[in-house]
This record gives sequence, structure tokens and C-alpha cells, in this order.
Amino acid sequence: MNDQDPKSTGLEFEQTSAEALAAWYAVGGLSPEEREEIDARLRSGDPTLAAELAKASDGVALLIAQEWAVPPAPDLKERLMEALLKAEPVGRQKDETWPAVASGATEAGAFMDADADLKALSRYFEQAHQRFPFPPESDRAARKAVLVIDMLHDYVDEHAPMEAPLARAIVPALQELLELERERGTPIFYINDSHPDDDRDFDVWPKHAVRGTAGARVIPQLAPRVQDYQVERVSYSAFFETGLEGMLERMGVTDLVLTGQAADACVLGTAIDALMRGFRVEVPERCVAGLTEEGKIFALRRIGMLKPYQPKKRR
Amino acid sequence: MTQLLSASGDGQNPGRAWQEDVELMSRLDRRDMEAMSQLYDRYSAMVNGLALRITGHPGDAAEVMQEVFTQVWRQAANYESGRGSVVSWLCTITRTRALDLVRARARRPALEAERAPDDCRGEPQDRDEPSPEAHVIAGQSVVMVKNAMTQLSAPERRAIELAYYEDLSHSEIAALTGLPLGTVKTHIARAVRKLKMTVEAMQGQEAART
Repeated sequence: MNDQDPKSTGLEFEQTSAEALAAWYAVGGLSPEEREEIDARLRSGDPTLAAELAKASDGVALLIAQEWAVPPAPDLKERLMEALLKAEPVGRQKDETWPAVASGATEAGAFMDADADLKALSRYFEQAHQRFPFPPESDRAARKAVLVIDMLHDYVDEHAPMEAPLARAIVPALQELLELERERGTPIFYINDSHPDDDRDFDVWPKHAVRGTAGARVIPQLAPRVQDYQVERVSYSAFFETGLEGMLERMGVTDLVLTGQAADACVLGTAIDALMRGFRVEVPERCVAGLTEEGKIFALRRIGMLKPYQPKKRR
Repeated sequence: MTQLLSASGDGQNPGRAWQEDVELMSRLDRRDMEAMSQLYDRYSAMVNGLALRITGHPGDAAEVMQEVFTQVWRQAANYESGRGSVVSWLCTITRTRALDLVRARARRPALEAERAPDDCRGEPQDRDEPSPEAHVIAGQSVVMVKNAMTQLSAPERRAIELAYYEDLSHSEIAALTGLPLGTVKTHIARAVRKLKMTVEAMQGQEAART
């Protein structure tokens, strides 16, 4: 570390030691640009910086542990443990009413106009919004969160058990969107399929996204950052048997941006559940992949024609 | 002293306690509720204290606690020991969740949360007066940690507090303290270097013992 004060205008990152960069990153207070610069170096696999960051984080943790120790209310532990047991999805019995085969993609084809394409989809949205416009409302008061659904190895990789080949094409656009939203401070939620090893879901689907395996992890190009949230779920909707709704409520989220895959399966299921709960839903076309292109268009049409039930108030 | 230093209850070196934490995490990954209970006993006061310091409100701190330990329970597999200790992982999650809550409620935390309300069941440790536990902890490592704390100069400590707890940017800290931006950055880097050296010394001491 250079003990001389850097120029008062700031720092030339290239000339700054990894030790100093790690210290600033661990403590906080960097500008978004500086932070992104360090994130980029960490993403590119800079081992010196990563090692320095681990040491700096430990140093800061020592300070926190030294200075802040306030025993919580005695009954909190018991309540927390009970909640954790309920949150545990292992051993959940599969609902026999679920169809054995997902039919979304097939139905999508049946509903499609022969000439349907993405341009037609845009026209459809325009017409729908002209016919049933949203009441005027300030976008500035919206509190947005981004959901990244199932961009996991077991879905995205070639020859993966649940391979959705179209998912690979959306990665660059999704990276771009996440970068932008992180700069804006938008909370990012990774919604990850996650099954116990003996899940009866595997009676009807190939074995996939088994908790703790590499296949259940988000692909490295979209790896979650430390400030992001990860939510494990077992079925089509991100709201089914998860704590997502409560977290969004507590954060005051009013609008959701759904990304990932599959548009015609889990994105659709999540969108419908979100709309029923009053969230405004946006699905950027470039950032979602369908099981088929037709399925995606079908799903976006369905989502685009619905409005949230009792929309959440933007403050 | 702190829960960290009394973590194992037998006054052992925190370096060893940090190593044990890694084993706890692998047990958590196997859904071992007893491991969760141990982790909670070790660090609930730290998590609660940090959350209280940032949010300035005991109810918010309890909410953050709930979120932090739930996240740890559900995402133990995400912990990577190469990226730092379990304690630093907990601190990072706690800080992020607490700042999220503060931002969501658009409420600035009290700059000095030491005056915690009565119902928070405790007070942050006084910086000059060690807690009763400190008196029952013997060993050089405790002295070493205290030395590191006293080695931080007042401006170094202030810069860290404003950045870490108050989420101020380095430029905002410079404006608030009247120091040049470069000096603020140097204070932070120097302070972290001192803290790191203490951690390394603790770990070296533990390695020599085992």
C-alpha cells in the first residue's frame, strides 16, 4: 500500500495496490464506477485482489465483532428456529394434482397465429395498452426488483438434464440489464430451482437442480454478487412455498422485472402469481428465453394482457 | 470483550473459533439444526449489534437478524472459505440487509446508536470499559485485538464508521470531515491494514499452537 495520500481528486485504479482496493471495497464508500471496476477485476479472476479482499473483509469483521455485541431478545432464537424448520422444503410431498407433463409449449403453438413474431407481439402490447391504459402514475415512485429465474447449469449448459438451448442466447442482454440495475441500486433476486436428492418431482422430470450440486448453481456469467438475494424454490412460481413475497413487501417493492427462463413455464407462473399479489410486472423480451420461441411469445402475450390485482401503491 | 472472543466459551483463540466456523457451515449445508443453533449462539449478538448500529432501531435489527440467519440457513452452500471467514460473510450479509432496510424506509439511522432503547436487551460494548466476559478471557490474543483497536487513530476510525455504518461515499466523508478525498481513502486503507495484521497474527498464533 502506498502510504502517501493519493491525488485529492481520487484514484488511478491501475496504479493502486490490490491491498488498498480491497480495503476500500470491504469497508464501502466507493463510487458505483469504482466498485464496478473492482467487480470486473474479481470477475476476470484476479487472484491477488481476491486474496486481499478476503483478508480485508476478515479485518473489518474483527472490528465489527469487537465493537458490536448486543444480545437479541431471548425469545428470538426459538422463533427463528421454528421459522427455519418451516422454511425447510426437504420432505415436502408432491401435490398429485400437478399434471405429469408440462403442456405450456404445446398449448402455445395451438394459440399462435401463423405469422406471429416479436414485431406482432410489440403491436399487440401497444394495442392492449391503448385499449386499457394504466392510470397515470409516476414511474419515479416505483420501487423495482429484478428476478432472475433458473439461469442454472442444469438448464443452460449444453447437454444439461433440463437443457433449454434458447437460454444461452439471452445471457449477454441479461448481463447488461443486471449491470445497469445494480448501478441503480435495484435489488436483484435469483430464483433458483432447488430439489432434495429424492424429490418425487423426478418421477416426471429428469433429475435436475439437486440442492448442493454444481447443476443447481447459477452459471458463472451471471453469478450473484454478495448484495444479491437468492431464493430457492421447488415449483413453477417464485412465490410458491418461499419467503419471497414477505421480503419484497418489507423492502417496499412495487414493480417486478422478470428475467431468465423459461418464459412459458416458470416465468409465466411467477408472473401470474406476482400480478395476483399486486406487483406490476415487466418482462423485457431480450432477457427471457422460452422453451420454444412460440412458447415465449404466447407467454408474453398472456402476461401483457393482465394487470395487477389491486396494484401496490408507489410511494 | 465480545462474543467473538468468547465464542467457544473457553477463552480460546478466535483464530481457532473462525476455523471451527467453517466446519459449522458444512454441517449447515447438510441441514444440521444443531449447527445452526451453535452459529446463532456465537454470532447473534454481533449480528444484532451491527444491525442495530446501522438501522438505529431494535425492531428493525430483529427483522434483519431474522433475514440474515434465514439466508445463512438456506444458502450455506454459497459460503466459500477462500473469500473470507464466516464472520466476515455474516457481517457482509448483515450490513447489506440493514442498509436495504434503511433505504427502503428512507430513514436515516442515528449517527450514534449507542443510546439504544431499553427494550434492545443490551447495550453496545463501551469502547473503554470491557464487558464482564472480558475478565474471564485470558490469553494473548485478547490483548492483541485490543491493541489493534487502540492503534486506529480517531480519523481512521471515523472514516471507517462513516463508510461502513452510514453508507457514505468517500467523497461525502471528505465533505463532512473537511479532509481531502485522498486522505479519507488513505485512512481507510491504513485502518484495514492494521486490522488485517491483527487477524494474521491471531491465525499465526493458532497455527503455532496446533
